[in-house]
Amino acid sequence: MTRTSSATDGCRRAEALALRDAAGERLSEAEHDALETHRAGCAGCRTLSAAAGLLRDLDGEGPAGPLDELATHRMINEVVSRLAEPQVRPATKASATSRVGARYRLAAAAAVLLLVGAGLGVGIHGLLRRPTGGRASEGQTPDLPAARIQLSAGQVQVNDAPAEVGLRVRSGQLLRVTGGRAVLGLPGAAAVLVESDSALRVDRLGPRTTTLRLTSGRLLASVRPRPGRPHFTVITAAGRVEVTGTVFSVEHTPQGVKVAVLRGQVRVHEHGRPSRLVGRGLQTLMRTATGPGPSARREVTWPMDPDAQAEAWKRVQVLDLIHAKRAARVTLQSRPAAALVFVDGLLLGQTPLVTRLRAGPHRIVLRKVGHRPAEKQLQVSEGADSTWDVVLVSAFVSQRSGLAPATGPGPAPVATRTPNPRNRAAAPVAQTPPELPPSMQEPTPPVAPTARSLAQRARQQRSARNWQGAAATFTELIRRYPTSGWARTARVSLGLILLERLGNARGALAQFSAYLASTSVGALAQEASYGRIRALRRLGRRADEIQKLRSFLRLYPQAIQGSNVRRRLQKLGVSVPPAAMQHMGLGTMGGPK
Amino acid sequence: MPRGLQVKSLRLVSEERSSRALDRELARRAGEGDEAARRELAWRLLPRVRTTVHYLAAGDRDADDLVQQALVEVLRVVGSFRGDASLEYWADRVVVRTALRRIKQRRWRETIVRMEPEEPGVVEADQQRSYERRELRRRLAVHLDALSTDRRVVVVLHWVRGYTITEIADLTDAKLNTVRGRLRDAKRQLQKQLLKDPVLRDWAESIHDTNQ
Repeated sequence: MTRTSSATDGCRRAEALALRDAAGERLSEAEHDALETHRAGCAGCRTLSAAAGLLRDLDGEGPAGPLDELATHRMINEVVSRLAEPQVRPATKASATSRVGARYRLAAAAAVLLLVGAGLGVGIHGLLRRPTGGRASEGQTPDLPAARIQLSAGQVQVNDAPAEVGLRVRSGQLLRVTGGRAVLGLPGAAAVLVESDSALRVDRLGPRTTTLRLTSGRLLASVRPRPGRPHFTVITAAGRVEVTGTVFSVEHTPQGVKVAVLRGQVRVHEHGRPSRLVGRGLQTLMRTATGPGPSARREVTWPMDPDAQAEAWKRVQVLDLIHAKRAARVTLQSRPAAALVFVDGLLLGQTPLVTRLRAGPHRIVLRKVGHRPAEKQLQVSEGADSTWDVVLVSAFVSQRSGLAPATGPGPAPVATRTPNPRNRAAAPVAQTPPELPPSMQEPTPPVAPTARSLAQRARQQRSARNWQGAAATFTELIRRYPTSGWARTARVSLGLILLERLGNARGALAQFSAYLASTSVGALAQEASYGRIRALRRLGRRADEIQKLRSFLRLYPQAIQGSNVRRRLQKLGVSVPPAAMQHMGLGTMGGPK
Repeated sequence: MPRGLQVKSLRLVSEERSSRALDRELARRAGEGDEAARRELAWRLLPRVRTTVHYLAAGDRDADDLVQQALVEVLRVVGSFRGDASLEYWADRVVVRTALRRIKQRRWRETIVRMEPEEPGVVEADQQRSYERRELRRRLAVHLDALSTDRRVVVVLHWVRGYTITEIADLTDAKLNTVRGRLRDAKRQLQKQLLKDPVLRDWAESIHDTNQ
């Protein structure tokens, strides 16, 4: 007979034996047998024992699943860079207690002063909730945590005056970016990347709380985790977004204000609606009073498009590159101006550009249509500012004369690491002498390129719409480093190029399938699954296509491609379950009934 | 003890000692700020820290931030590692304390988001098993979430890490009898919950039938 109650005598005896075992005691053979015999007859103990076995030896396989290689790299970089920063507070129990005590004492003192000043009847509740010090004292204290401009590309203004890198931005000031981008470093190791045509007012800058007001445009914020109350808030016309530690973007769109979360989660307070949490990889829309009415979309949150996610992660990498403790100021100029600036393969903005860059070696490439790219390896040392001023050589002239880009007239480099032997020798571009320092000449490809450099080269070729070249480089990357994370992501990129640009559906199918065989939960799995469906369609394999379409709907019921997939299934004469049914099918989780 | 076994065990002890010495050296370098040593330690400890923290945090979507925080704390104090125990055990102690401090500080219940299960869909046969086990672990994580923090910590350290009651008492700064009581109560609570979960119960039965 199967017993299901845990309260039987047998269960109690088994429990006592299991506790002795857990305490490290050696059970006798007879006791082991007794334990096994009991488990064989008791469903409760059997289930418990099976559950314990399920959790054993799980490194990398916890409830959240394994971390892919890129995410692991990123997490370790983050950890190491945080270690390089000075420790703000020791994490001992005693100091935590004294800190709490000090906070309460300060809060009490502030409350008493304010009560005396303002009268007993005014805002007692609000004053008690106010953080230590209060806002009024922040404005008077000279040594407050500062917000500083860390990247200035294009027109960046603070209160209508041009803003340079290093400029301090105070509470109440307005940062406006037109035709470029800016990075604002904030207290508490937070940073904000403000994109073109955006206006951001710094409402509050305190040691514990930061409040920004985005009146137009878009920003990407990276906030370090901090336990306890929300300390970072972005206010928009449609509501506010509160975070304690996460990476997210806020964007004004014609439909409303879009909030997308890349890491962690944020709480969104939309005007006139209950607040909601938005988790990693999801986005939501807050409607403004002046915007259009309710949209057709019924979901409150939905997954980010993989392309948008990949693009947003690139912007996060830009923030990582700039917002570092050990950094130096770098000025990049070109003639003609408005050349795209890539640092370590990431687009930073257009020349003229002034930025802080993390200390270490960097590869800088300037590109402009109709000109040969100029490239330079720059070693950035902490505190040593450097300038690179380059004359871009016309592609036509360059082809005829074989000239490399020349360093042109302009300010001499501040740091000795950026020699500028052509200084003050203004001359027409075509007549620029070819004697250049080795670091300024067109680089020769390395004998054994690394996976990273191959990936960067392939991406640059793709940006330049050199599809054949990009496909060849991605193929080389996969051939040389087949088991690396770079190769895995390269398969999806290569598949898309083969499918969309080179008309090779068979090759694309092989790449998507290889990616999905290597990982089923990778960041690009959804993209690869959808690519595989498109490749099957091109190849006319209807039965396989239907199977994969159904599979896609089951795996990604909320995918942005979902409507396309359903439409395609209907066109193929297959009955499609409505979206709501799909969700119900998935919604069986939630613990015991 | 036969001579062969004695020689083997002596060799194991010797290997363990030399491995501890290497770990001590690595920890010393990391403690002095050597970035390469820090990275090596981070690569080695990250999977372990992440698994432990994810179960302790019980399905919180912000758990990876907590993982980072715990790993930073481990590397910040790694210079004090003396090699009395294994590096992993020593790191677990720091991780558990950091995670518990953070978990108890925050308004925890409000931020917990239950994870949606994944649908296996049409996948290869070898992936199917992996999906199933991950789904089962997710279900189990939800049940662990229903335990109090103190009980959950004891169960996670015992089941996931295989620590004995004495070691858990040492890791969590609790008395032996307290840990024993928490483990017993946690198991009783879990047993009741698991019996009400048809998926986990059927899975346990299928394992039992297979072993018969």
